[in-house]
Amino acid sequence: MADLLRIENLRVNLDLREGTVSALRGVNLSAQAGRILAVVGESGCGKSMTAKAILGLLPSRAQLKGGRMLLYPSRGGGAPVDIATLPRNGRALRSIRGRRISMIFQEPMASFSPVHTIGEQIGEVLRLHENLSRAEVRRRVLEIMQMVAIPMPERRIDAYPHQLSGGLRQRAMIAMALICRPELVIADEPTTALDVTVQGQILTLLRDLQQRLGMAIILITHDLGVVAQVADDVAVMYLGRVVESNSVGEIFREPRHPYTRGMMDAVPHLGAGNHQRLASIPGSVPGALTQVAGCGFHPRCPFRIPGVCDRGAPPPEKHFEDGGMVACHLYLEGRAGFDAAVGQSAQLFSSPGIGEFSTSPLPSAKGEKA
Amino acid sequence: MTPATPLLEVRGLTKTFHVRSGLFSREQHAVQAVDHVSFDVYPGETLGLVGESGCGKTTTGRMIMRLIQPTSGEMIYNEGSTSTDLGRLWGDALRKFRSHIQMVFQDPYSSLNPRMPVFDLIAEPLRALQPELSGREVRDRVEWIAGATGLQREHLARYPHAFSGGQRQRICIARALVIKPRLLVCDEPVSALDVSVRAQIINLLKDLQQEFGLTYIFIAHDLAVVENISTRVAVMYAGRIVETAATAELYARPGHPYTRALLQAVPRPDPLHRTDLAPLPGEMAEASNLPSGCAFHPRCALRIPVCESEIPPLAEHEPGRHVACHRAEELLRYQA
Repeated sequence: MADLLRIENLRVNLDLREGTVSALRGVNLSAQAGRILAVVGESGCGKSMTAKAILGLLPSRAQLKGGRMLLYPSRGGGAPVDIATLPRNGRALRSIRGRRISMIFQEPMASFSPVHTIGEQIGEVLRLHENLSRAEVRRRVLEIMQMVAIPMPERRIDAYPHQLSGGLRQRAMIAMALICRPELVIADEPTTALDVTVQGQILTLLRDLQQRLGMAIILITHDLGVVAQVADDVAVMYLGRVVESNSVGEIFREPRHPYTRGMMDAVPHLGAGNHQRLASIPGSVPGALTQVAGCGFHPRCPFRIPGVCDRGAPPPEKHFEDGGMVACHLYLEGRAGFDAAVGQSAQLFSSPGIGEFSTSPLPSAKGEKA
Repeated sequence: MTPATPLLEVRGLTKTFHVRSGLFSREQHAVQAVDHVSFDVYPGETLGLVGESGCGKTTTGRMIMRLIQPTSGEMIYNEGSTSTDLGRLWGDALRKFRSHIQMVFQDPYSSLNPRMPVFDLIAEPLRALQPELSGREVRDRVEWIAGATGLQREHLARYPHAFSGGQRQRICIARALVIKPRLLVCDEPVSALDVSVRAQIINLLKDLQQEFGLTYIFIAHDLAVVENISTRVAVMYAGRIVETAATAELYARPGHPYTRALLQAVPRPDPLHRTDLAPLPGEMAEASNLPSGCAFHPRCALRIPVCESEIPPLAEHEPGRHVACHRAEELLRYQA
């Protein structure tokens, strides 16, 4: 499958009051037409920042420091556009945003204007990008509302956002994102604010629409259950980098990075009963200002190799025949990988008991620049 | 086995809110947020309270804490041979009672005063409720609970902003436990936390329960988390309890169609078994506009005519399993 969007070595710095931090430290990703790519990670890993960079919606205190974001033409040949080189808010970027790439946000209530009707807001992108009559816009809005299964669209089109339930608002948001038939949709935690039964409806809808319309979806989430049920491909992010990627089947069958493995072990499984003790990753994601040398995960990694993982540049990517990629020293320089490092030990991630808790980053992690 | 006397007996707990019909309207209408909720909590167990937003689980927790005044119903707290109705405590008596029941909130970012160092945050309930303690005794107790919750001595001088979400939740737990309560109401204590940190806090709560013989009411919407921590589970829908059972029973053989659908809708972290994630149409009705009869009937695949007219009572269908459904017997038999 050909890439629709390929991100290479994307770097973004963020100016905070306390200083400048690198929010994205060389992100590599690719999204393919007709597939759902899940970008997984915890708060601060850079998954939302990556989405904003793709859409040219980075906040003003963020600067693109390098890298390319190549958007390939979906039909026929032709040269790709490098979104990273387009001026922010320029005409070229605006013609892509909303039309070729669109976005579904987490909080539908916060993303709609309370003083415009649902129909006006769904139709807005269409009016901006295509020269259509009012009647034609309305017809297209009704059509897309039907497609996202909003019941009674003729009535709902003139409703205001607060008059819809949470689930219907999220459907309206999806309609808004899809009305121009984009080639790529970025969905940033689209179901996190929803209840589980409504989440299931929205995920099913996204999966169906993706199959019907054939677009690419980048699904940003922290929920491994959602990933397993919906995604085709997975990229795991930690501290501004993609540390592992693979197809969904492979990554769940054989997670390679200790962080991926740790996250999977830390999630309670439904039906597992109440006797299992959850494995947990010690410590927490370092704050934005902490500069971690070497591999970003090493302060929390039970398998770190002293003198290797904690210094220098982050580990380079290693690619596998199954299409997977991992950025971890356990797989480099002739090392045999995660399972060899674990050895006989069955317990991969021990749970820190009462009173045992690592907090501050290791001494080697302080003050050094990655 | 569960001992005979519950620590807490909740009977017919009801909360009616009065809301204005419109922004400028003087008319009010009553909204039944919690409607005749009854359950028992036994010493040393964890009762999981699950349901979707608006089902009344948080309101129930807050009534037990007396942060919201119940409209009617009883909350009997048994200690030794004395029984107290929490709903009838006022003033000093209520304040004294707070040393028995404490709460951990969802958002560790907004529930800690940013201007207080961690030591004072943890010491605050102690100073308020046990003013007779000397400064030294307070210090000893704070350091003891900080150690038990996995905080380090040097953390005590810092301010909340210096901590991550997981560490803040440890501070909240320390603050709740410093006065040695018996019952802890946890309202979504891990939902705001990152996945890798969530497991730490769940394990910590379990360890503390064992060590101090605590009793928990664990309010959450995440069914896998609730299963992991709870002894028994109560499922709420539209202000009522629709099912209670021992955790293993409830998850293996749900007795209410809603419980069943709720479990089905959870996305399993297993790509080889993709399931139908949308077993339920529609959304939960708003408390201000509940359907007649069983509030779940418009979404229920098993509904029969009686569901539209009669509210099914919460009845014991098997030992230890209460279900409020006209077809519970059939559903349970079908899954036997």
